[in-house]
Amino acid sequence: MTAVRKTRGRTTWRTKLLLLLLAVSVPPLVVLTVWDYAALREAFHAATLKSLQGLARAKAEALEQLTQDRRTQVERIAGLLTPQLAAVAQEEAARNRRIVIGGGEAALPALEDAEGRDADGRAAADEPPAAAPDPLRSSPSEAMQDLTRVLALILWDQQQFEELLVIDPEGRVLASTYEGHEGRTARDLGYFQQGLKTTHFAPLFVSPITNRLTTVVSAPIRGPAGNTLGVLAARLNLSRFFRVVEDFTGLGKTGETVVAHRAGEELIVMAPSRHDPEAALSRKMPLDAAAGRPLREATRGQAGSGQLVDYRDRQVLAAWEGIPSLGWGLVVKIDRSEAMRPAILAGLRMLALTVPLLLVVVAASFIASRELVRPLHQLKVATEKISRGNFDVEIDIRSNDEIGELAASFDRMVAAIKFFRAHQRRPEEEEEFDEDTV
Amino acid sequence: MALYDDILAIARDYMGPAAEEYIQRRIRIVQKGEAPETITPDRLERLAAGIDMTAKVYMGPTRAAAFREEVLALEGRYPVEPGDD
Repeated sequence: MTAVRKTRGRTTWRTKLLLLLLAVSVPPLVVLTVWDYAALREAFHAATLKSLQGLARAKAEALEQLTQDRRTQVERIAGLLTPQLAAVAQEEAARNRRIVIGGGEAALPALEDAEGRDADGRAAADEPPAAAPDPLRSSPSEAMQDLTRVLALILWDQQQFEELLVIDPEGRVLASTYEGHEGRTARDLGYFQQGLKTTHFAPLFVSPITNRLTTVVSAPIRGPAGNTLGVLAARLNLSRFFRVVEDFTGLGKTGETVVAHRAGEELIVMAPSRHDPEAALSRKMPLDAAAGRPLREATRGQAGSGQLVDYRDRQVLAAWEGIPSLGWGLVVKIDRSEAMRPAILAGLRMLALTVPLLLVVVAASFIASRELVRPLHQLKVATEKISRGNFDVEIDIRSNDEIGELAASFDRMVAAIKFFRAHQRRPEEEEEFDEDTV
Repeated sequence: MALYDDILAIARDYMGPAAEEYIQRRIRIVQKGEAPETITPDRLERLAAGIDMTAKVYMGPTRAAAFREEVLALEGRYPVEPGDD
């Protein structure tokens, strides 16, 4: 029992030395590796967010610029149409042809392509009434023909528009590059009403003509005296907008851009996204939803970035920006797993280096402890022999250090003891031996 | 006297407290009874041979050989003069 206790309680100097060497080498190595990896991840995280911020800013600026360009173009075209529309108005006045809109002697059908339609392109009203015969269309005047021709030329020249309409101040579509719209009324449409006052960018809707997402930019057509002669409405081809949104450069395989508009207590996605091509107008989320925070802030014009959970319940790194002229918010995001993959790979490489290094350190500690303790072990064995009366010991320690000095002292001590023992017992023999030998 | 001191200093490195007694015994033999302190360089070779033979009893052959070599090396510092022998 006692022997067992002794064995258990005994820690050899070699074990202590090994533990000491491991203690001073392994923890710093592990801590350094972990710290390096953490710093690497943090750097990647920050760099990714910075890169996303740059992308979000660039995309928001591009969309902002596109919006401004379209506004400017529509205003410029509205200015170009002043002479033609003035001539039509003059001619109409001369003919004294007055159309009563919304009832009376000649009620007009509502415009087919309007922002009041839902995402499926169905009309808000049941069925549009059949077009009534338009006296202007049935016998178009020279001024009207001129206006229609100019509109067609402009549309041909300006590829970014899908349709151009000229609407008189009472809401009647005087001319359109889509023939079916002429003679209809746009009196109740927001873009007409707003367009009478100023340049207006209507919310997105699905065009029943093209079955694509579109929007209308409207601007007043002013006469020479500043009076409003009518409204120019331009239905936009949004492909360039969507090209900006669907450009995945720098977004890897999981990155995407989401643009949304705030409508009441809801956020409505305004364009297709990578993971949801049908998202435009159909994906909606409550304003207070956690996943909607970046879009909510972006629609308020606030920029930001961070790590969050998106609408797919995925951890993402995201950056967001507002598009003030449209009242939209834009979020550029990438799955965290993909964004951080280089950091994880770098971490694995670090691990692949550290583990062998750790093994080398452990092996070196083991060898070092053995080599350092070897002379002490020799001395211990020799001392044990002497303590048991066996003076026939020889130690082979040649190190030029304290251990070497200790070994030399030990040798001196053994030599002296042997000498004294020999001469105490048989000095005469020694003398005789020496005499004989020498 | 200087030669004796140097021999004693070398012996202390190998024999510790027994050095003086040991070396006096060895020198007395090669001096044929004369005082050890009067040892002359011409006796070094015989002294070294004696050390080589007897020191092995008290230490390992390697150390004994080193002991002998150190004593012999004193011949360089104390050249044998004519008439010493």
